[in-house]
Amino acid sequence: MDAEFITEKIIAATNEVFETMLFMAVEPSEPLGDGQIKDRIDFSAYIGISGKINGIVGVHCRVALVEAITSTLTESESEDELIDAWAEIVNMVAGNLKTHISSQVDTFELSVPTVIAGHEFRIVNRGSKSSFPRIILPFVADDEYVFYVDVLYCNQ
Amino acid sequence: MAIRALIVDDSITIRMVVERILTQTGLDFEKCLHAGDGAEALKVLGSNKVDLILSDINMPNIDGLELVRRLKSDPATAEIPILMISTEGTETTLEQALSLGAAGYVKKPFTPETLAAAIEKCEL
Ligand SMILES: [Mg+2]
Repeated sequence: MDAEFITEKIIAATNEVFETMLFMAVEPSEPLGDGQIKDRIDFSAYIGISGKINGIVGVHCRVALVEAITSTLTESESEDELIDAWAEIVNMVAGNLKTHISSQVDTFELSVPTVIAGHEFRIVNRGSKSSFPRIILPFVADDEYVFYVDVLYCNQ
Repeated sequence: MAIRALIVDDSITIRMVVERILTQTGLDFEKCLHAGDGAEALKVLGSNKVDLILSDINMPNIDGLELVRRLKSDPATAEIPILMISTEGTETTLEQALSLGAAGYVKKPFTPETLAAAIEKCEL
């Protein structure tokens, strides 16, 4: 599977999750490739994938996006709820990516998600020059909130 | 008939998202009850009558498959249609849910139209 194919599937999977489940319009922009995410990040969620494809799917954002999502759903915005929302989002993005990819190759399984919640930390990408290519796609939700879908993978 | 639904998911985000999508199906919902896992769902069902259950699979305490098994083996709840809502559900898990008696399943993400079609198949 080439990067172009995966990129196309990441865009389709992410669009569907945000548009159908969260009622937010999202616009992808050019992949960052091997570069670093320059923005400061507050929420980062990861899920491992294994099977015919092994790797990690991550989503990274500023807290404002998670707050925008949860504020339309619940009254309180405890950190637990923000973490819950972001974990479910990586779960849906990775699960939907699996659905989109599975018509072409055998499927992969998902691990449970892990969320890193902090304040203005930086995501630095390592190891992308090894056998694990990495695709980092920036998106803008509702013309306002930047987030990144970060997929590191290798074909078995 | 106004539908009383029970949404079972360990994620409050997903319960709220499912409830919001339910209201957009065009079907008439009287109310949506929530439960955070299978054990809580059994408790809610002990004191509330519902017409439809929408349940996640991976949950703590009593998971979705075990919930289906218990509800189907109890005459008081055996007739309530259960729709599984899953992201990561592998085909074998979903098939297992159906063989235990679940009425159907929808995979996240889904549209109100997809959810409405799955509910209509339950013939409430
Ligand atoms: Mg769950």
